[in-house]
Amino acid sequence: MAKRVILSVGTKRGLFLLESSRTRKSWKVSGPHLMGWSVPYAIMDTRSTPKLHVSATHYSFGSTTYSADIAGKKFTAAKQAPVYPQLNRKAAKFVKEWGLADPKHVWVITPGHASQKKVLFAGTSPAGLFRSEDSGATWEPVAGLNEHKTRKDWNPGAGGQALHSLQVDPEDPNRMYVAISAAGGFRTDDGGAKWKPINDAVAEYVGAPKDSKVGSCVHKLLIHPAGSGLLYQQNHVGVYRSEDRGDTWHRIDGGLPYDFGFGLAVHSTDPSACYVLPLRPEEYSFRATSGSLAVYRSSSKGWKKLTRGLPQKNAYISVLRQAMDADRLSPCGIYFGTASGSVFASSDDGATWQSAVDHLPPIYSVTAAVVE
Amino acid sequence: MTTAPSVTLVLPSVVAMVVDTKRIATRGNTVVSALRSAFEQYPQLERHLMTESGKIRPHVLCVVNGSVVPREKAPDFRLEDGDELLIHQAISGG
Repeated sequence: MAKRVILSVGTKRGLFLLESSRTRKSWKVSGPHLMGWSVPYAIMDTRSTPKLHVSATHYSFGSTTYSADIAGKKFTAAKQAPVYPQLNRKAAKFVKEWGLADPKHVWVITPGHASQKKVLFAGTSPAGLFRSEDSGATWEPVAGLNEHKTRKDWNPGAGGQALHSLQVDPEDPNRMYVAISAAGGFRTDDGGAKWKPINDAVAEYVGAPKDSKVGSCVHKLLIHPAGSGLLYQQNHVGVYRSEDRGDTWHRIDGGLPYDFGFGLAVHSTDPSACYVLPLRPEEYSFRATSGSLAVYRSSSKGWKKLTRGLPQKNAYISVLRQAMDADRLSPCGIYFGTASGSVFASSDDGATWQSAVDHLPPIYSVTAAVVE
Repeated sequence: MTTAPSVTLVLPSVVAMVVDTKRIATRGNTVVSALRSAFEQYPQLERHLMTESGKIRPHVLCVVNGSVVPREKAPDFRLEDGDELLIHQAISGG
């Protein structure tokens, strides 16, 4: 059967699915699914029969996770959704004093290792890691991380204290990475019992706890599919690359207009290539593009600005951290969704772009899946 | 032993998705006891209607036989056989 690409697009008002043939030139849109729910995140698990996993939240009725068939025709809520951890005392005080958001929902869902087909992981706010062994019907906390000795120093970010990045190493089912705003990155090499902070040489936020291994405001952390311990992260301050599973990081944002941003994607095969979408930072609390929209691709020679097909006038656009992804095809497809409801797609490594859909509700997440 | 009144719990569409049904036959002398009885059938419902400390969520409105029950009276509001307890999203502001 011919390959298709499906984008799962989580929005403020439900889930949308965008489907294209392998050419990725025209997109068929369905939705809104889960009418009435906000969808912070959705992902298609393609390890066996494709299955959607969705985080859903509602202003009055709280949050849960859903699973669904590939077409989004029948959604089933978790029988036992994650029970969110409490904020540590310092974080709760900080949230109150600064009037920060304190959402309680699932930020990310990630399929487990290919050898564990029913295993899923979820990251939450307040920050917690959960494991499901029944394809999302029930969730159990991962104590090794949730009760980590550094938890007392985990600071909340402006969007809450969120475990937003969750990566299972395809080379080793026992190795995983998570990233928490604003605590930083962590790695386990033993299936989740012990977790090592991996924030050496990464910028700390102002006021980070002294002599602590945490205190980095990581915005997004990804494994590169080229493997061998290659990681990228978009931080509040800088873009970083690690070649040793996060033990050391090298700053690579020289040449970008801003070191600040949220979205991050990694190329399907080229280990030197990640994609970022720099946003004007918080000098004016702007956090949007400055009139023109550009994606930047890294290489061993530096950054390449990619604008063909993207709006270059009057474009003041925000892209959230879960709203950028790449597929695993070659040439690589890159996708991002905006807070103003557009999904932009490239099917040629980012060289050219097109709008796949406009005028959706504000977009929280975009994930790409290749299905048969 | 007296059997608690038979009550029909009617869920808003958004919550009905969680349990795949809009109407639940339950029993209870009060709003909260009728809700608790429904939670025994559908444990996943509780987090959507109650807080972690066991109170009705702040923006959950209880309507009995078409009449809004004031929030402060809702938990102990007496129910009778055949009552319909409708859950609605409480909206404030405009």
